[in-house]
Amino acid sequence: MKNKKIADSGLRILEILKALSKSPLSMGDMLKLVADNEEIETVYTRETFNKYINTLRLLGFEIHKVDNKYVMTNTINLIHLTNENIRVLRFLRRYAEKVYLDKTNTDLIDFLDIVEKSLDEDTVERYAKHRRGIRFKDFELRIPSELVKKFQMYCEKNLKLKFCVNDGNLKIEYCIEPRKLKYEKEFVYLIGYDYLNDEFKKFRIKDIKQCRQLPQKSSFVNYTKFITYRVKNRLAKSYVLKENETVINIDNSDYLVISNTNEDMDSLFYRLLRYGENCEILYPKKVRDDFVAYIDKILDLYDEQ
Amino acid sequence: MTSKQEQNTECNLNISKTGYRVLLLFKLLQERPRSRAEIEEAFAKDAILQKGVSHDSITNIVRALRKCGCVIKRPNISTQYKYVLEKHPFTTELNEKALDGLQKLRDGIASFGDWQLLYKVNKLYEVFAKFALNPKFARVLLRNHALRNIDYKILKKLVSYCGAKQTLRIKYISPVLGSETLTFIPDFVAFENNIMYLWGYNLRYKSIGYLRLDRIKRLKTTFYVNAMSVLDLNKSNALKVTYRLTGFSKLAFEPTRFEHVVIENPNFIVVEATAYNKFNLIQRLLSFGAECKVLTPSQFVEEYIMELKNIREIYRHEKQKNS
Repeated sequence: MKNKKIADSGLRILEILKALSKSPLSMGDMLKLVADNEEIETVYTRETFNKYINTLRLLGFEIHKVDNKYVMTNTINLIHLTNENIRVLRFLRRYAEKVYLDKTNTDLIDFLDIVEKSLDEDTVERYAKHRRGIRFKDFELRIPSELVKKFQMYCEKNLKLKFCVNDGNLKIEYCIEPRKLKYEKEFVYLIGYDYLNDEFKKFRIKDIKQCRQLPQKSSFVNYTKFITYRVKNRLAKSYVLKENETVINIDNSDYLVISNTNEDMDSLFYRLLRYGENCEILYPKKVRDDFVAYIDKILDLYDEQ
Repeated sequence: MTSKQEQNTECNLNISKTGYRVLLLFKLLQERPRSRAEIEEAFAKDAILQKGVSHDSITNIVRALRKCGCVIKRPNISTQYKYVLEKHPFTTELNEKALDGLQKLRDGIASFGDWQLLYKVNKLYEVFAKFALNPKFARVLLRNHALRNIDYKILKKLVSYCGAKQTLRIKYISPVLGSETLTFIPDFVAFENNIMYLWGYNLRYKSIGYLRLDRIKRLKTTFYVNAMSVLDLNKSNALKVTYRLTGFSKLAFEPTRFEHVVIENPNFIVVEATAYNKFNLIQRLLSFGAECKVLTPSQFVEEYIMELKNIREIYRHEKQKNS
């Protein structure tokens, strides 16, 4: 019979190490951890766990007791970064905290913390010296952070919004179900569903005026708006799908039929116009007609000629 | 022996010897792959254990490590008869939300069109991938970016050739013609709409044009006596086009290297563009939609209007067919 023996106490220590590398553990947590493990059948005392902690410490795992919990302060994966990596990491951190500003994504900031804690000795020294990181003038922002936070909160609350946007001398009022914020260059945009006009819209948050939250909840949760278009010829052969697109029909030599979901209508029109005669909107009919009307609007600019 | 180990050997050690063996082997394998003989030697030299370890014990320890989630290759000819630790679970895992945040950061950075910065960010993400225990997440970090199909060796060479205006023979996979060899005088590399292009003079088509960098499969230098003058002559003969931008297009306008603003006004700007490649310029102007009006020269304005009418015609044609 094949030998299936396992170093059991070793396995228990490994399980504790695995859990400690993810979060602090109390003695009770450790007891529960090994008791819950079906593979381990013995009953354990606190003394046993002290022994395990001593063993881990002896091999260089820095474990401290803080508020009745054991915390591992060093990490097992030590990483080495080049000077350029360090400068980019500094820059990313700044971008994440000051530009991206998605404070709700604490996991991202936590992850960057972990990366910083995992640096090897040599990298730690150089990391302390390179305090600035890459400087990139375009990232000196035009984004008002308070405004970003406000709109982030609107997205989280999931309540409908009513606001105005200036279009030339006209003030246009919108009722929107906010979905998410999008970062493009130095601008932050609000993406939302314009439920009165049944289309997704993208607004530069800086342009949004007189914004107020309505008491109604957004209803779009599972709402998806599809627009189908066909690209052909050369474009069909080199088309790179966007994240909100899927191919629904392919003719190897001639065309691709693409389904696009929830893209802001203005941005979509601008993009499809760029494709010229190699693109045609198929469905829905309303969007197709709107597109033709939009081309007429451009042609009207040249009427006097 | 480390000072910590020395202190502990002096006092009565309250440790788990089995646990110590397991952790010691893990640490040894983390440093580098080890053969059984190397493991036995390391155990024998260890200040705490001070004795070797049997084959069976090594097997049991490896089994415990695997059970806990370590991926360890068994010693065989392909591993040079060594145990190889490929992955372990003792790390804070990159979770889906953090991954999503990292991707958003990278997309935001890519939108600035600075491919060199994006390249540097990708290099750091390769390090981050070590924290992704889920192979799907690692793949996202390593592959889901705008430069994913770029051969960096080719890119590096091209950047150096652009400065020197060297003539190149390029093996190019054209979307229409398939594989073809082009003689090309490279001018510069550009990153637009998440795609990298090589701009220059195409001797086959006798015009300034651009190639998608991910479609360049091979290149070598060749000799063309007038490389510099051909490129410069074509550039100086290029058409000058002016257009007016209003609305958000005016606010968000970023000139390409072929453009500059000639008139700036609170309500509009007028841009002068050099049309090195007419197709490319028409595409750009179309992407501004109704916020753009082409002003001069009149022949180009006519061409632009014709392009718009041709697009509209597709829909009219379809309407007639349906009725």
